[in-house]
Amino acid sequence: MSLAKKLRVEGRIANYDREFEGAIEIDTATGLIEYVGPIEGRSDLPTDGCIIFPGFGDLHIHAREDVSGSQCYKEDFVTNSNAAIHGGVVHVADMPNNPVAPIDDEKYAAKELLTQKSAVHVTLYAGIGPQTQPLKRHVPYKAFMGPSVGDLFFRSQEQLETAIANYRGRNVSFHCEDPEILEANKNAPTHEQRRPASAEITATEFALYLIEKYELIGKLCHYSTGDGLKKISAAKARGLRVTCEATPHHLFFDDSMLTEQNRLWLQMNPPLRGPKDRIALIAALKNGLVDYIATDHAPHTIEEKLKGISGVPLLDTYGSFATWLMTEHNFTARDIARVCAYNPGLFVREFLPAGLGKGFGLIEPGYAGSLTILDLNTPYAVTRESVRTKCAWSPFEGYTFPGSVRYTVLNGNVHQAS
Amino acid sequence: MQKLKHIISTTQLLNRKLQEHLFVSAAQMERDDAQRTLSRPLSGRILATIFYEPSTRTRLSFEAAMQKLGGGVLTAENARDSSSAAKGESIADAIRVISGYADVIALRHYEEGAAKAAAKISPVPLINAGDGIGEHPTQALADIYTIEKELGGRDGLRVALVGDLLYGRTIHSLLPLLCLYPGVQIDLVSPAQLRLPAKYIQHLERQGVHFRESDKLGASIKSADVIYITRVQKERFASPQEYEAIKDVYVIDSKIADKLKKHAIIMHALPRVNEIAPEVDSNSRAAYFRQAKNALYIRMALLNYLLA
Ligand SMILES: [Zn+2]
Repeated sequence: MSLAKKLRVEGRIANYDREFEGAIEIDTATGLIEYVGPIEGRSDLPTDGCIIFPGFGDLHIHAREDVSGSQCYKEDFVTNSNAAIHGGVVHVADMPNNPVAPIDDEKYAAKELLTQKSAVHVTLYAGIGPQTQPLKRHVPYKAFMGPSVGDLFFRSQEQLETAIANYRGRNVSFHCEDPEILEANKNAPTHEQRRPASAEITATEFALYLIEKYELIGKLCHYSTGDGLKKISAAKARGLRVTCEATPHHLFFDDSMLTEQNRLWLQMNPPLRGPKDRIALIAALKNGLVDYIATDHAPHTIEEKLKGISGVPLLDTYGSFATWLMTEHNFTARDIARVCAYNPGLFVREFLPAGLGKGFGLIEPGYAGSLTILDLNTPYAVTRESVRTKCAWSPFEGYTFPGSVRYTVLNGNVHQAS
Repeated sequence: MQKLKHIISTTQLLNRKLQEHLFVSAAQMERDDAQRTLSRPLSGRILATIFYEPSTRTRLSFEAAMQKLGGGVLTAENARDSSSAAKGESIADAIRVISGYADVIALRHYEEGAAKAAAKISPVPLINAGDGIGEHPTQALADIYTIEKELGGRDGLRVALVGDLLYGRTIHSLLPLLCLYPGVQIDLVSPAQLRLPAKYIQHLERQGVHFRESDKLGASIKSADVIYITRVQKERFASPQEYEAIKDVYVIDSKIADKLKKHAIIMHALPRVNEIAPEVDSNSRAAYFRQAKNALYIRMALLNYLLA
C-alpha cells in the first residue's frame, strides 16, 4: 500500500495545443504529474475563474548572486525565487554576467551550489568572453555582444567570431547590440538614441551568420526591433536553429510613453523602441515567430536607478502580464501556454538534472508537477510593497493588471501567490 | 534486458528502456557531431551494406553513420545484378562470406523475411535495412525519435498515416511503436486499393488502439499532431495506368499545411515524388529533413550499441 500524498487539482487546463476541463494528480513524493483525467468534483484547490497552466519558465533573469556575494544587495537566489513564485514562475535561467562569472567548469559548479537555496529550479548559462573555452559539461551559453552590465562583452564582430569559433554546435544565446554602432552613438542625447535600432539589426545579422556558420543552437535575447524580426523569420524558414525572446517591457511600453518622470525607471538595454516595433513584437509573439516571454529581470536598487543604471525587475509580474496579453491582445490560453511554458520547457529540457521527469512545459503524466494557476477575474494592482524582489520596486507600479497569479505549484507544493 | 544481437524487426525495439538508451545516445551523437567532437569508438570495424534493392539514401545514411563513428564501409549497391547473386549464389552463402570481412551487416532485400533468414546464419550483427513489404526497423525508430524530439512524447497523440498503407513498410514498422503511446489515436488515410493489410488492423484492435479508416484527408487535417505521408511507389503496381490513376490523390501543399495545428509536424521517409509540394519545405511544420538527419544519429546509436 502506498502512503504517498497526492495533490489533486481540477479545473480548466491549458497546454500549448489543447484546452480542456480536467484533473491533475501530482505525487508529492516524486514531485511529478502522475495522472491527468476527467473532473470528479474533488479538487484540493479552488480554481473557479482560473486557468491552470503548466508552470511558467523565465529563460532570462539576473539573480545577481555569485560566490563573491558582492551584488547580493540587489537580489539573491532566495529573494529571486520568492519573486518568481509571486509571478507564477516555476523555473528560471540565470545569466552569467556576475563579478565572478561562470566561464569554466569549476566556477559554474560553484555558482550551481548557490542555487540550491532557490525553491524554483535554476538553469545557469555559462559566459562566453574573449578568452573563454567551452565547458566539459553540457550547458547553455550566453554571449554579450556589446558592453552592458559586467565584463563579459566584445569590442568588435571579429573578436566575437574568434571566440564563438570555439563553441561550434553549442547552445548560445546572444545579446544583440553591435558594439561599434553603440560606440559611434555614445554622445547622443537620450539613452534610446545612444543604443539605436540599427545596433540590434546589425547584431542580429551577425548573430544569424554565426549561428549558421558554427551550427549553433541559437537564441536571440530580449528582442526589440520590428525590422530585425523579418531577418529572424527568413532564418527560421531556411532551417536555422534559432529562437527568440521578448520581454514584458518591450511588449508593454514604447518610447512614446516616456516622460521625464518615468525615463530613468524605464531605462534598459536594449532600450524601448517605437510603437511600430512594439506592435510588430506582439504580433510575432502571437504568430510564433517570437518563442518566449523572458523578462530580462534585472534588479537594481532605487538609488542605482536614479543614477541612470540600465535594467528593470520583472519576475513578480510575469504571470499577471500574461493576463494582460489575454485581455488586451486576445492571446488564447494556448498561446500563453506556448510562450510562457512549453517553449521555455523545451529550451531547458536537455540541461535538467535527473528527478524532474520529462521536465517542464506540459501538463502530462511524467512531467514536473509544477503549475501556474492564473485568476482571470482578480486584478493585480502593482505596488512597491507587494513585490518580493529584493530591490523592492517595479516598472509596473501604479498599473493594475486585469488578472493575477492565484497559486504557484512547485513539484506538488502549493504556494499562494498573494 | 538482454542485449540484442541483430536488429530485424521493430517488435525487438518495444522496450522503453532500450529506446530511451538509444535516444539519449542519438542526442549525444548529434551534439558531438555539431561540436565536431565525435570520438571514434568503431575505429577499425567494418560495416557491409548489402543492398539487393536500390535505396541510395538508406545506404548512404548507414555508411555515413559508420564512418562518423570511425568505422569503415564495404558496399554492394546493386547486389541483385552485380554480385554473385546474378550467378545464382544464395543469399546464405553471400552472408557467410561477407561476415568474414565485416563486423556488422546492413541488408536490404526485395523479399519479406529475407533479413530474418539471413540473421539466422550470420555470425556478426545484422541490421534489416528494409525487406520487401516487410519492415524497416531503423527507419521506424528514427521516426519515433523524431516524434519524441518534436512533440515531447505525448499521451493522446493523434497521428494520421497517409498514402500507400498497403505496401508502405515504414508505416508497418512504425505502427507497433506508435501503439506504445497511451491514448494514441491513429487515422489511416488511403485509397481503397492501398488500405492497411488486415494483420496490422488486427494488431491495432488487439492493442485496443483507437483508429479510424478513411479515403479522405479532410477530417484529419485539423486534428492531427503528426501527418505521416508515404510515397505511392510506382514499382509496387502491376501496370503504369493503375499507378497514374492514384498517384496524386494525397498531396500536401501550403494550403493544407497551413490548416494543420501550429505544432503539428509533417513527416515523410523520403524520397518524395509529388506527395509534398516543395513550397511546404519552408513551413515550420515540415519535419522531413530533420527526420532524415535524425535517422543518421539513430543509426549511429544502433551501430554503437551493437558493436561497442
Ligand atoms: Zn539580460
